[in-house]
Amino acid sequence: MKKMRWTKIMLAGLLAVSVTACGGPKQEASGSGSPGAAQGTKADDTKAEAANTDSQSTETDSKEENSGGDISIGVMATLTGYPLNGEHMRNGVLLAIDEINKNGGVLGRKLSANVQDCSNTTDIGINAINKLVSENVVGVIGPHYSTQGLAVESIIKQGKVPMLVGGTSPKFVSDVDNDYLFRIRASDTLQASAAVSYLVDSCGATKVAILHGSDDFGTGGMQVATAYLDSAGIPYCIQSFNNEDTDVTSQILKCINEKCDGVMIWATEAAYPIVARQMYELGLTAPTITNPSLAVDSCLAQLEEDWVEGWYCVTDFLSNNPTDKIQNFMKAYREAYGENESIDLHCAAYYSAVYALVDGIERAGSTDGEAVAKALRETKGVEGLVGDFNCNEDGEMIHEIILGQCKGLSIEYIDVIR
Amino acid sequence: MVIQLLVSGIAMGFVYALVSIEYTLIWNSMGLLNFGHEKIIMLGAYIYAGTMIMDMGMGYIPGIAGAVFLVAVLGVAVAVGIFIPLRNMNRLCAIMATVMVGNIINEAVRLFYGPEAMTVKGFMNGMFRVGSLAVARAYIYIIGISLAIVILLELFMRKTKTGKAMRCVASNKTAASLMGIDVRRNMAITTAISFAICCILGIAVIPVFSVSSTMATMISLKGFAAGVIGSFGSLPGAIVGGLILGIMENIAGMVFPSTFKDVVAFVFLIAVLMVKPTGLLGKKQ
Amino acid sequence: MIKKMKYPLAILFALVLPLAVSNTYYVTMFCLTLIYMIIAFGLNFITGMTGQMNLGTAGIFCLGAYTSALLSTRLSLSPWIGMAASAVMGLLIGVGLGYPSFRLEGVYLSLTTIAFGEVVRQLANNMTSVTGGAQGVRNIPPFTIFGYEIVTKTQNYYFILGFVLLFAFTAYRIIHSKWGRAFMAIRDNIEAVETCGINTAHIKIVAFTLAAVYGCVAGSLYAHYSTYINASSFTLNLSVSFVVMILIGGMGNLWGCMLGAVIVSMLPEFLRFTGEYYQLTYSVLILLCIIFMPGGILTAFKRKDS
Repeated sequence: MKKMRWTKIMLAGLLAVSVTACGGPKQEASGSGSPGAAQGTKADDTKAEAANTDSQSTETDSKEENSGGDISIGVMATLTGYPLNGEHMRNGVLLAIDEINKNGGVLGRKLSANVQDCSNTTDIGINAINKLVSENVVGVIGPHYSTQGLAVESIIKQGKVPMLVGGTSPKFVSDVDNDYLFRIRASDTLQASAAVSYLVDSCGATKVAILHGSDDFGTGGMQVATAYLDSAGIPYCIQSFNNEDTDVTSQILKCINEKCDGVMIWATEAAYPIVARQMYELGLTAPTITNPSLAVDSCLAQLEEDWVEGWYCVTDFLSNNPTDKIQNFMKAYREAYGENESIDLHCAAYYSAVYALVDGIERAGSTDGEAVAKALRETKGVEGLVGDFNCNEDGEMIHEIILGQCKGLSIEYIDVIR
Repeated sequence: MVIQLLVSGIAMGFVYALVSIEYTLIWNSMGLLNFGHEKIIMLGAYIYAGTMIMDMGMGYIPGIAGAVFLVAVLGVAVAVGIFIPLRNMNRLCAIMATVMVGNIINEAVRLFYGPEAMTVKGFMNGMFRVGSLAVARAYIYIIGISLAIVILLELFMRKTKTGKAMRCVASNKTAASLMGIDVRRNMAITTAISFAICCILGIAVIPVFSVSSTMATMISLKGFAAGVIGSFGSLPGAIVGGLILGIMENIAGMVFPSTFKDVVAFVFLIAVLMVKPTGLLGKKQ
Repeated sequence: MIKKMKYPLAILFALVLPLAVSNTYYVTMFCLTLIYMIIAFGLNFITGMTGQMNLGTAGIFCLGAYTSALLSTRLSLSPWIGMAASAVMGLLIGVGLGYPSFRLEGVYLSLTTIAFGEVVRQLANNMTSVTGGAQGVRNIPPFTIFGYEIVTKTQNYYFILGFVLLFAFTAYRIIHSKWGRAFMAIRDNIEAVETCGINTAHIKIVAFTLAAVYGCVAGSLYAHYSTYINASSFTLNLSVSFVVMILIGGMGNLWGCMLGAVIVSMLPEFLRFTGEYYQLTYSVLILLCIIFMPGGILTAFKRKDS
């Protein structure tokens, strides 16, 4: 019984300590210089360690925004929760930061990353972005999901911190007017219309089945595609499924009944093993084009060759692209994180995003959010792995997308659509 | 076409039935609803795919045996450490504790196996056609495995001493302990069996869902529903409930927009509870 | 001395808090905590006091938020009308969810509430023409008081704090009324209550309705405070965290609810320094609390005093 009491007291004490940490954020905010300094040394020897034990860089680093400290870049990554691509995103960002620091940093200062988990729920995302803004990051990279981006967009506007999102929802342009918001991947407006137009023009589809996830991402892609099909006067059949769905038989049967001769799938990675398998089994074998998820290595690894042979997809990034810049990146990534690491568009897109942000900081000549955002708006011809960065008035930086075809479970390059 | 829907409905129905059998065991033995079972199913699949097949390169059968053994051992540990001490507590505490156990397993799996989904290539895959009907082999396996588990479990409960003791504990704990049954040990065994079924279930659905951290979210909820629709706490009830739910939601997916089929399933659950709270096969109170 | 002064002291502390900690990060967190407190007060009636497991709180919260948000964005009504509508919605849910609780006990009831929560979430996500679907509702107008808009986080904090005080006071009065005693009697011994001639079904519906109204009003506050809602927030996990709140603080006790809301919404944030392990650490801490302090943190301390 005595023991129990001690445990209780200790537990209560532990909780109290963690919660009362909020009592002293002031001291924390005025912070000692040591974490920043520690961060500096850490940044030099990131490399492979950074991949595993990133907890240090997640620590509240570089509180001081004076010229001596690091330039801190915020990263909003989905590390917990689901779907989980935050690790790849973080690895890509850390790799870029490491390279830049080796080449002398930016404005004579070192870069450091402040990685916060956003868990793919709105409230945690809002907390993460507030934490980043309050810790004076120069810019935020991420989040990857549009719903989160839309939820936090007003906060970065108030905090005057540029944010480079990877969410592809058309709503970023149609619904949002925010000078601090940039997009470092091709928007769905480009991706989905490229996909559906290829299906119609090159595959000769006369009736298109659109299978999409019922989340924000899938719905956005579906809306772009239907707008295109409406204007082209081509009939279509829309079928959606929830992300948790374990069976899509009825959706596929409806598509077959409608005699569709072209299929467009717009969904997150998790749906592909189920959708592709059931399409194959039920015999929906019309030409199929998908969103970039299919080209993600971990997604392809879950599919059988028969299921997806000959499918087309649009994608930001192909790991078997033979150009030097891609292969050099692949080599550097594997050196840092291990030979067997799969490399996908998340690594590449956010790796490039760091370069775009750094380019902005250099041209602005300061780390002031307003100046950096202004410079980012004038971004021109910055080379990236997912296309060259050219900013337009909507904050769109990438205007091209690769079209590929799946052969033997690897995606082969066909064309670039601009 | 309706027959095609029936095929996948029946396969899903058996999955739901197995889920409801697995949590019913713990419920009957300890009066505890294991809300963490979703994560146990996932853990079973990860141990099999990640450790047994990929890391250790085992064959399918030894891999399954190894994974089931590990998860059953975990079951004993969880039972001794958490479930048994909690069973006399406020029911709310106990349920929340199982949820937290689930969260811990979820995070541990993510940290250990990494965030990427995976699958076991060539495992129970393939399909065959009967006329125009397409049937995935995995569905046949799932149905077979479920039936085997149900029959074995029933035999175990009726013929072996431990099984009889389990039934005794389920119906009356005080009497059981007076009869010289070690109730705590019995509960640990029950939990181990329940966890083992979770693990087999997780492995059986790999070819259908592939392995990811949310693979079991929906089936675990539907499994609860299936148990209640049939008759809570009984084996035949679980199977009937699972089949009804699986077939009905697939037909509903044809009639309504497909995304509403979960809604139909849950509304049906509420409706059944309103009309007959003991479930379709349940006795009158 | 301290016992008598605890209410004014707590209010004073709450009033001064955003002045002392003006960082938006913390103030945002405080706002959310306050909203969660209201829900916890409500859930306390049904789960904490009456002992009926409710795992559909996220559904209640969601309906409240969507009612208010859609009325004020689609029909451009004042947020106040939206909030009133949310409260009415709460009444409806309360009766609707309370009705099954006549006949259903324990597990059955918790499954009904889970099913309710899932149905609400999926409908909000899939009835695109009404709710905006997965893309959520954007640009929800903020509350106005006498033509004065409540925009900044600090203003929101005080605004929500006002509601928390109001609801805490109401809850306090209800707990110490005939109803409150009946709630606890149902939890402790339902047969005895019935033999006393109290209509238990009626009492349970009252408890459900109170929980739903509290939850819906909190939802309305949440919608206008965050100005953007989408269905992906209102999951079963959220319902579970609400139950954890009242469980961990101390069931049936308003101070416990508040403490629980603070712990559940802030602890994960303060564990962020553990990096990737923060969710794991959080779950382990909560599990240990449940195992070693099943009556909640407050009760554990009370026992130590005596």
